[in-house]
Formats: sequence, structure tokens, C-alpha cells
Amino acid sequence: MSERVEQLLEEAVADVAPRIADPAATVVRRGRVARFRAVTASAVAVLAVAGGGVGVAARLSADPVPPPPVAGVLGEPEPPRVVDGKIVAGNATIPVPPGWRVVPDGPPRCGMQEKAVLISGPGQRGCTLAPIEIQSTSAVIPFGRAFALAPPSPSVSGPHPPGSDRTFVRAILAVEAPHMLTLPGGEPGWLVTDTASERGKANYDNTLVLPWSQLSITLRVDGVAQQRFIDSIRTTPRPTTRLALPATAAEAELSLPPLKQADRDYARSTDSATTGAVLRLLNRQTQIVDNRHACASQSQPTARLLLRTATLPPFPTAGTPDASQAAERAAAARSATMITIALGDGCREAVSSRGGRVRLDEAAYRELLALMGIGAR
Amino acid sequence: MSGAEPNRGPAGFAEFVAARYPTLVRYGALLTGDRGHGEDLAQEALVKTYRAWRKLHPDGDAEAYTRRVMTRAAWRAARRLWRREVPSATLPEPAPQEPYDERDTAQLVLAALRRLPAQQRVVLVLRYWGGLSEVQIADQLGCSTGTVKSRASRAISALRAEDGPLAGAFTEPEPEPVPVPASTAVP
Repeated sequence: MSERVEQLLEEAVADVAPRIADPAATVVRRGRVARFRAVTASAVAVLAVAGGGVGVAARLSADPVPPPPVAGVLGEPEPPRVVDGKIVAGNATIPVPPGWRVVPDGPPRCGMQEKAVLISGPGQRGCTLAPIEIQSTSAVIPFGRAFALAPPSPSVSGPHPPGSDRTFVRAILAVEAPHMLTLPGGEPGWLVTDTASERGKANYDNTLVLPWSQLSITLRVDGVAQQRFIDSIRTTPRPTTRLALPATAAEAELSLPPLKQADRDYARSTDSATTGAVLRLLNRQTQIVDNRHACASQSQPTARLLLRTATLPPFPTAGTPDASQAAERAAAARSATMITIALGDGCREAVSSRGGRVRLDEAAYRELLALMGIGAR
Repeated sequence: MSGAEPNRGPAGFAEFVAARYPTLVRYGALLTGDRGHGEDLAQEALVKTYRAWRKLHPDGDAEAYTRRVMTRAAWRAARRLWRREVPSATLPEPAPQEPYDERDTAQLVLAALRRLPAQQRVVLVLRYWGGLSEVQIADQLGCSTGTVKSRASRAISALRAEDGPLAGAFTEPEPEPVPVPASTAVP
């Protein structure tokens, strides 16, 4: 019997692979931080005793509400790799469909590869195409279907917050919020099109993004196969935190469903008072949704809030952008943090592309709409 | 030559981590019943190993030290880290067959491990996966052998429960019939 138990335990972890291939640098950094904290704590204790102010030490060490994580620019993720016949990328383990093969991107395989899953790392995307393509990339956002909205007329420019002189810039080209879903294990996924709508189409082309894993997955299979593939993904995300947000935002952009009318469904603001208020509102949301209780599903309508630390430069009015303009736009895009908000009665949650997931109740959502100058809906 | 890189720790540390990390993560997954927690546990332990590296390298056993840190952390977690887990009298139902999924037994075992109270899980792993004796386990965890015996017994009972998803998995496969050469056949 002992051997059978041992065999079962061995089997249980046979395909467990680390999310981080080589954590030495991370461990060393954490070790140094731990050492610094130990030294600092000792110094504080000495000061507290010397001053007779034990309460000072208590106040320093007891912070009932930890500050929210501040989102920095994400680093380059590691390329997907194959471990025990499965694709491991970020927090995700993705089985290869039976009878399919895994191919890396590269010149020898230009063109469409049948029954193949293509894997590529950051900046490695080449000329190969496949029904399923998995790319790790730091530029997972912004993505989504863009809509050209009718320009608002002055008479329907939408209410501004009372008593404010804030500047609202109404854009015409807007990006629709993705469909949210929760993958087995708790990691959120964002789909451009829900898989039900992908059934019976002539050309299938959907994109699934796993923001916390920095993964973009292109699906050129029909909706049924898309759903089956999505269901097969297993994730092991880190424990959830509050929303990771930038410290400041130069620009905020909100898209609501259904994205049809400029004033009613879309707003963009470059006003620092507004973006600051939006950040403060999101930072106040402390009802963390852990990985086991995440509930967002494709059938829910979603809203999309994009926060940029740098304003996105406009496309040049004539010609194509030169290298420096393209780099500037790419840098601005990388600085973006996207918050998706699952709406509906059953499951209200907001997810940050930089990490973190919280409940966002109706009152907070209404406040967000008001801040962005979109009236009651 | 020091052999150390500024961001990768003292000499030998990065090589140790690179070589043993996958195994430590698997050990962590068993101790916690969760891949993500298992990796977190391995990293936490490696931080302690890093801080004790001068004593562990080259003459000490860094892996044994790291495993001991992980084991004790998982044992203490019964009161702290994974407290939010609610032990259940019944083990989870088998998940429906997933497309492309060839590892349902593995997932069932991990799910069953997660449902065990943390101390039972730790003892089970040390006893049956680590191959330690009850005395060795008691020594490592700082508890009595009676505690070890009772935890191991309860863990096995929970996994083998008739209505549990692993009841069938504990059934020993029928031995294959071995052909007997004619010359040795008994009349």
C-alpha cells in the first residue's frame, strides 16, 4: 500500500513545473529585502525602547490596510516552453490537443501549419501561422475590437461633473471591452469575441489574453474548439491582491457596453483631477476576490477602463509613423494598465492587467461613471 | 575568483537553485496540495537558504536544509497560511473528463491533498513520499510519534474513503498471469 500511495503522490506532481525557470535573482532580491527589514526592525525596536515609546514601534509595524500595489512597467515575460508534453507559459499550463504538435515560430516554417500550436516569445513573432498561436508578450494590451463612433454633437456632449472645469476629450475611435472569463485555477482571461459568437462563422479569428501571464493566444478554430481549448487550460496564479494601479495617470479611457454612442458609452479624460479621482476610487476597493472565488464569465457584459501614465501620441496625419514615433507609441502603450469590470447582478468584479482583483459594487461603479462624465445608465 | 554574480547571490547559490528548484517546487506542491502555493513555499524557503548560505556551502546539505524549512513552514501553516482552507469530511467529486486532459488522477490526488488538514498532508508526504520513519518525522516536526501516527492514519483513511474520489485509485491492479513453462508445471 505504501508503494501505491508513493506512486499516486509521484504522479500528482510529475507534471508540476515552476512558473519561473530560474528564480535565483528573485530569491536573492527577496533575501536582501528580508535582511534589510530585519535590520530596520531591530533599529526601530532600539529606538522605541530608548525613547520609552513602545507605541511608536507598534504603530510602525501594525498597518491594518496595506497600501495597494503600484503597477510598474512590466518586464519581458519568458517564452512558452514545453514540459512533459504540455505548454507552460506564465501561470498557465496548456495541453496540446491530441494529434497536434508544437512548433516554434521561424523562417523554415513560414505559412499555415495544420494541426499545430505555435509558440513564440516576446518579439519573436515571425511568418508562421497556426490554428492556435501562443505568444508571451509584455504588450498584451490594448487589444480588442475598435469601433468608429459617431462624433458627438455639442448638444449631446454629455454632462460634466457639476461645478468642474475639467477638460473632457471625446474620441471617435473606441476599443470595445473584452469578454471576461475565469480560467480553471482562477486566472482571468479576456476574449475579443465570446466563443458562442464564433460558432458557424466563415473565418474564425479570436484572441484570448491572459494578462497576469502576459500571454496572447490567437485562436483560428471554430467556437466549439475554442471553448474546448480554453476549458483545457490550467492556471496557478499568485494569491490575489488589490488592484495594481499606476501611481498617477495622464489619461483615462472608459468603454461601456454596448459600445455604440460616443457620449453615452465612451469617455476619455486627460484631466489630472479626474484621473486622480478615478485612481483614488479604485484604490479604495479592498474587497479582494481570491482565485477560488473569482466568477467572471463570458456571458456577462463588461466595461473597460484604460489608464495610461503617458498620453498616447496621435498617429501622424500623413504618411506612416517614423521609428521614433512608433517607439513613443509603443512605450505609451506599454505604460497602460487596463481594468476590466464584469457587470451584472451575479458577479461584479474588476481585474487589473497588472494584477489584482476586487469586488466593485454598484455604488462604486456609478461613481466611476460620474467621474468620467457619463450619466446614469 | 569568487564565482558570484552581483544579482544572483554568492558562489554556488544560483547553480544550486537552478538545479534543485523544479524538485523543490514539486515537493512544495505536495506539501500544500497546490502548485502555486508550492512554488511560493519553495521560494520562501530558498530565501532562508540564501541567508544561511555561508553555513551551507560547500560543506552543508543545502537541499536538506531547504526541504526542512519548507516542511516546518507547511506544518505551521495549519495554524496560519492556508487557514482559510476548510477541511471537509467528504473529498471532492471527480472532475468531469476534460478534453485533452490525460492527468485526471494527478489532479484528483492534488485536490484530495488540498482537502486534507495541513498537518495530515505534511505527515502523509513525509511518510509515503519522503520515505521517513515515524520517529524521523516526529523529530523533524518537533512532535510526538503518536501525533505522527494519528495524522498519517487519518490522512490515509480520508484518501481511501469509499465515497472518496481516490477509493478506486488505491485498489491494487490485478497481477498479470505469468505463463508457467511446461517443464516446471505442476501436474
